[in-house]
Amino acid sequence: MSENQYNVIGLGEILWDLLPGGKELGGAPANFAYHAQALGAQSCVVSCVGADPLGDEILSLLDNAGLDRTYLAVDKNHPTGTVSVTLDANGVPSYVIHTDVAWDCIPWSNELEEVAAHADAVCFGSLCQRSAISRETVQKFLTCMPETSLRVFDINMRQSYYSLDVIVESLTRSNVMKLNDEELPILCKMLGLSMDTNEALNELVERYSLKLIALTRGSRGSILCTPNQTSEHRGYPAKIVDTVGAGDSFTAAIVMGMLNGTDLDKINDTANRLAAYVCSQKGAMPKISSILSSVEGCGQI
Amino acid sequence: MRQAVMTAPGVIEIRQVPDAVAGKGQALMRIQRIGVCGSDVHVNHGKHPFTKYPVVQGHEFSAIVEAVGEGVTDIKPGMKVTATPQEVCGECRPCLRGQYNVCENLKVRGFQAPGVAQDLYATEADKIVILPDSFTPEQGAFIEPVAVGAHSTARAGGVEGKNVVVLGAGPIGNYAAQACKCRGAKKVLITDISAYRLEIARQVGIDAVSNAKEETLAQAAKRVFGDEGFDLAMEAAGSEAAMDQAIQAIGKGGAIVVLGVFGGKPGIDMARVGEHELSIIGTMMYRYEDYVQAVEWIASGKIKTEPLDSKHFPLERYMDAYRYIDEQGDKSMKVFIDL
Ligand SMILES: [Zn+2]
Ligand SMILES: [Zn+2]
Repeated sequence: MSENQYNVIGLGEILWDLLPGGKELGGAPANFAYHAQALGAQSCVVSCVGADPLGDEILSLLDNAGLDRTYLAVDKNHPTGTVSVTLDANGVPSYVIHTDVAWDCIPWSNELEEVAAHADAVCFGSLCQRSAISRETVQKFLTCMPETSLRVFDINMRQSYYSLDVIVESLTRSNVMKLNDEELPILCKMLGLSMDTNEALNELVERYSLKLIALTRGSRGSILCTPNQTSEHRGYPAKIVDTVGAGDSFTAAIVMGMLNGTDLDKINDTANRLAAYVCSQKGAMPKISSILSSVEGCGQI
Repeated sequence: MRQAVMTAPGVIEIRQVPDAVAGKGQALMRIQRIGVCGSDVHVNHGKHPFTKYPVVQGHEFSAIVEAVGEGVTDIKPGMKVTATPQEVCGECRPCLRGQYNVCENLKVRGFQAPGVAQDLYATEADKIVILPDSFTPEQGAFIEPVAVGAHSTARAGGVEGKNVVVLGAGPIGNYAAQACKCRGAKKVLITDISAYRLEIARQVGIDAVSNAKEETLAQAAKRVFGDEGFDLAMEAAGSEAAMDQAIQAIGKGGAIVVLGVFGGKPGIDMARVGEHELSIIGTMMYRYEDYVQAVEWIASGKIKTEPLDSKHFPLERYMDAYRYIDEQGDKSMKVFIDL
């Protein structure tokens, strides 16, 4: 890994979404890693695929995206993760996130300990911690990271695959959190937080000693909250093609902004510009223009 | 529901169409007032270069929320609202910078996309601007031109403490002048050739007025600002003569914001622009934050709208509104369609 670039890691599930129209790479960690790299980081994906054709396809896809997959383990005993998506008679989709798959078995290793020790930031979620093995790997990884690093918990609640236990443990070991406006009320109930948005965010920052919490509100922007500052953004309009990966790109922009010591309002602005752009493109990993990373938004002018 | 369709220049059909419904992430609005503006008049005359017929007009309006679609939580039926009329791509260079009001693929509702001239209209929730309960339907419909004033004065590179000349006292010039006052201008002089429009400017509290038929801009500036002169001009007349007078009279290093819509390509004294280091600044519509600013200014009473409310017509008499505007010329400010 290069000396002058930040080492940023996407840690957790990697899978194929088996959609009626074909399959698409899924999993927040890879999307996050891709966008962090587009914004200047040296990214890598830490996960696990099966020794099968679907796994091979993921490897070559990550290669094509220019992502480091040195630490993507291959598991001979578990298949590559998949999510089956079926549509009912009314076209309403239902998802089956198949269990006992490769990313449920992300192995801990000395090499990973090394990666963690040199990481500037990691993003992880709750889904991949549904299994004991991956949960242990995630928690160990967090423990091995430098004190100054950013440990970003993107809660990413999926179906029933989250628990109070995992959430509290993850929050305790992280110092940045990202969630959306559908997840916040659920979390407020679980943790007994205020039902007022700003109060709840401040309570989370204080209770878990977070450097920053990011709340995304779909096309209506976001709130960033730190121990002494709040930044609210209205979001940017776009012609929405699909919203896949928008939240992950948002998280990546937050992380890169924090690593670069950017002003909070500017971080929020860049994150919203990037997310709006990702919504205007098909898929989670569109080509990213340098305008998004190198040019400052026009703000209020 | 009723829908007003302009099928050709000068021809409006009132049709019965199925009610609009709120889709996912949308709010359904019951339209109350629609303001008719200069661009609409151009469409009516077949002189708007980027509008095809048939077209449903209406882009400055007020409404009451009728219903909301799935996933919309902070907008509730019964709320007074308006909404921004721009459809943007999100992927072009201006959009990537956040300058989506000049999106390369910009479509404005009422021109390149269907407008709100119908009883019910569904729009994306993120375009909705919630209005205070105290707002009249007219105040809600005035948000759009006030937002033009908000955006153009934000573009000006600092208004506070400056003497400002606004050329043109139609609704856009009037609101730009009021916006300058809101942003802390020292003194604002507004010019026009219409005594009627200057009287309206006086009524909303603009510091000084000048009839361009009676004195030159240089004379007026001398009378109003004395030796201080002025360093900011807002051109809202779309007139080559006005632009030239501004370039000749403005102080060295000054800025001229171009709000007016110019028909041809005016001759500009570029030598003077260069040597005097003048800035000529374009401005295009507004962004969401300008709507929010406009709501705040009207709600706080800093911007007065009542004197600009000229006349109302029911939806069925949409064409009469255009006839009235043509007949009145500069003796009307804002004409509304009531639904
Ligand atoms: Zn208008
Ligand atoms: Zn665009």
